[in-house]
Amino acid sequence: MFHSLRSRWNEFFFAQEVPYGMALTRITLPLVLLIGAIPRWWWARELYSSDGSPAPLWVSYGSSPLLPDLPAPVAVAMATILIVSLVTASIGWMTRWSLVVSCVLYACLGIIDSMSTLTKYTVVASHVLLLLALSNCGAIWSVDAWLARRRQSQVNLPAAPPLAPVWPQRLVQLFIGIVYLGAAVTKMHTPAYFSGDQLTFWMLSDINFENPFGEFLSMYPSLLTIMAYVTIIWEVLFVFTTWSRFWRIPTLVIGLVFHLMTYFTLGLIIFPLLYCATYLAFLDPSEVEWTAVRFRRIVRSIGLGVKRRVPSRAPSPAWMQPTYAGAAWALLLATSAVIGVEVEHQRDVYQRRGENGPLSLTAMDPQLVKTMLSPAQPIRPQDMYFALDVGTSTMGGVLSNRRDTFAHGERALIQCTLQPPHPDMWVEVNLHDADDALLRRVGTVIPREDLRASFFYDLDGSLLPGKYDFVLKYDGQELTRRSITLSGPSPKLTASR
Amino acid sequence: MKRWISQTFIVAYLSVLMYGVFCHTLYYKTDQHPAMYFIVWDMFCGWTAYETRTHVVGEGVSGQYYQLSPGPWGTIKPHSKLDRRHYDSGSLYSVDLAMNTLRQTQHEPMARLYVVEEAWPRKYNLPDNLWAQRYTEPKDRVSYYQLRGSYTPDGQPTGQWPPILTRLAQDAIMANPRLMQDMHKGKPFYAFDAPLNRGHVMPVGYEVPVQE
Repeated sequence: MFHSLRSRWNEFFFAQEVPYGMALTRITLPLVLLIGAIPRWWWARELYSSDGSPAPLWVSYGSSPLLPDLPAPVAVAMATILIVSLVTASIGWMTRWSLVVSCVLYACLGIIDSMSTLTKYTVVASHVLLLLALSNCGAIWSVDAWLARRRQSQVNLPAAPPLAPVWPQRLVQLFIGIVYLGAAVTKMHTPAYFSGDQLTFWMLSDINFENPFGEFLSMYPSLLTIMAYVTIIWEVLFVFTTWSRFWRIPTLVIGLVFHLMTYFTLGLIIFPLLYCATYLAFLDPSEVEWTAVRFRRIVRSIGLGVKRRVPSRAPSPAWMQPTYAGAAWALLLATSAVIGVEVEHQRDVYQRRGENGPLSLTAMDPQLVKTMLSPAQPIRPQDMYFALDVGTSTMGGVLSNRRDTFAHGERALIQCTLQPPHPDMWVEVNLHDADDALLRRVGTVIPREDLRASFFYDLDGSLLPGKYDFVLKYDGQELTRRSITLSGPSPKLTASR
Repeated sequence: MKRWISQTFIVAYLSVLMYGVFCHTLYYKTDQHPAMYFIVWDMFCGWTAYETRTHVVGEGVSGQYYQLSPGPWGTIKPHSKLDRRHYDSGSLYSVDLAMNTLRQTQHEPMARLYVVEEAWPRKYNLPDNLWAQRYTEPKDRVSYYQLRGSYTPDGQPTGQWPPILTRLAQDAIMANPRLMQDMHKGKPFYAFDAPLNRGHVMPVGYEVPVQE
């Protein structure tokens, strides 16, 4: 039993494989992180230094400082070195050290600016950078590998790809699965997630990039409910199914679709790209080799094939020795830091040294400020409701079909959704005829903890065919109305008003 | 030796990750230390039906009001078209933004600094074509403002108030006369927990420890 477990453990974590997946992640992940790191370099003085307005994470936790206040040149140098080390990590030059430096600086700068740099994607990235640094991801498709090949002067045929223990890759895979597990727990903690309300309001948020598809989807809450259940089931199962031969591909494909959808529905950019890069660590060597063979065939078939050069026997020059390569890399980082500090100094972010410097403050409209500083206004009744929808059926507790035409004998379901937080409310949904005369009146209490109430109206023979309105009222005031058409032959018996 | 180190790292790393999931699941010490942010996976944990923005205002001694964030040199827009200040949801750092702007600009002496929260229902974020499909009334967005903090010119707080949504939730509870009566029974007064700025209603027994 013990031997069997040990053997399984060793097979799982210490099998020897070519680190194709980790190398692909190493190439792509730093490039993704540069999307966020480069614009922040421009504002490094303000975001990370004592000459700006950093927002340290430890303040929100009420703990003692984890890092000292950084003078502006140090902060700028760190931001510069981060960018250069991400580039060198991507091309695989001094790969391990590049990844270590990237990981440390990325986490440190994030901790210093928790307001606009640190997010959960920076945390995920820090974990993956750490695990990449522990792996042999620089052994292939890297400057390091090229230098190593050049140093092996006795070889005149392409060397076999190097093998390495697979445990860093397994940890990346387990890490992603555990993150999903944590994300599923978060959703379990949020009852509004299962009714689609949380997703609806996130899709209506403007705090991320444009998300027109999300705004459109927010109109269909029952669809969001289905998506919510599928997502949480997938998140819980991921860490288990990703090892199964049968479920692995569907699990990963759903994951990719899920992350890509967060761009369209929530306006996220770096987060989905980061996960796409990390998913490359799930590739098996056989899959990479299979893809590479087909890719080469396609390239050759369209006449773009390049003849592989046979490595020469010429001895490698001195600058290719590991010591020199390391020194050159360190020199590059140091030089970049100095140049970065100087460029940033010349940029004069606060424009203090220009002709008109220091700048003057921007005056505000006194009337607007008076409105801002006046006593808090009560919420208007029309802002207490979110939606009034009419249909016939529900799914997951929310209306699933919006309709404006009904036939006699049908039951209309009117669902009123409120904007939390709201007080305990007495809400009416009344039926008015085409002349706006009140025909029927139904009301209910919606306690502060509820988000919606449903009302039913049987469209029976007492109603003539024609146009009717469902009118939402609160505090004696009409908030909104929805018109419906009752079609079909006139019933024999009709009620008067 | 090398494998032994690797095995130790594997076990330690997975244990730390699982500890994070455990703490998150049971709400155990999740806010104990900043390091917990690195092992607790609570992405999109909160939600609100209101869109909120932050305004940082300075009142000069002349009575003129000034925008203290973003500074006149501009700002980064970290995750969208919004300025950095709007991501300070807890109003923890807004006064630091103001102080930096004051340090880096020329201006008249300040009398008071303010941090103001603006909120409006998110339904008004719908584009006009989708609004017309779902609502019959015209789109009539109104912003609600809530003073979150007032500060002296050197950044010392003189008053702090809860976010607008906390206030609304509190108002909903406080509107219950029976509850108010119960709360006042046998209690000489109530203090709002201003230092923590969470808007919790605290009984009189809540005292700040005095160091002797």
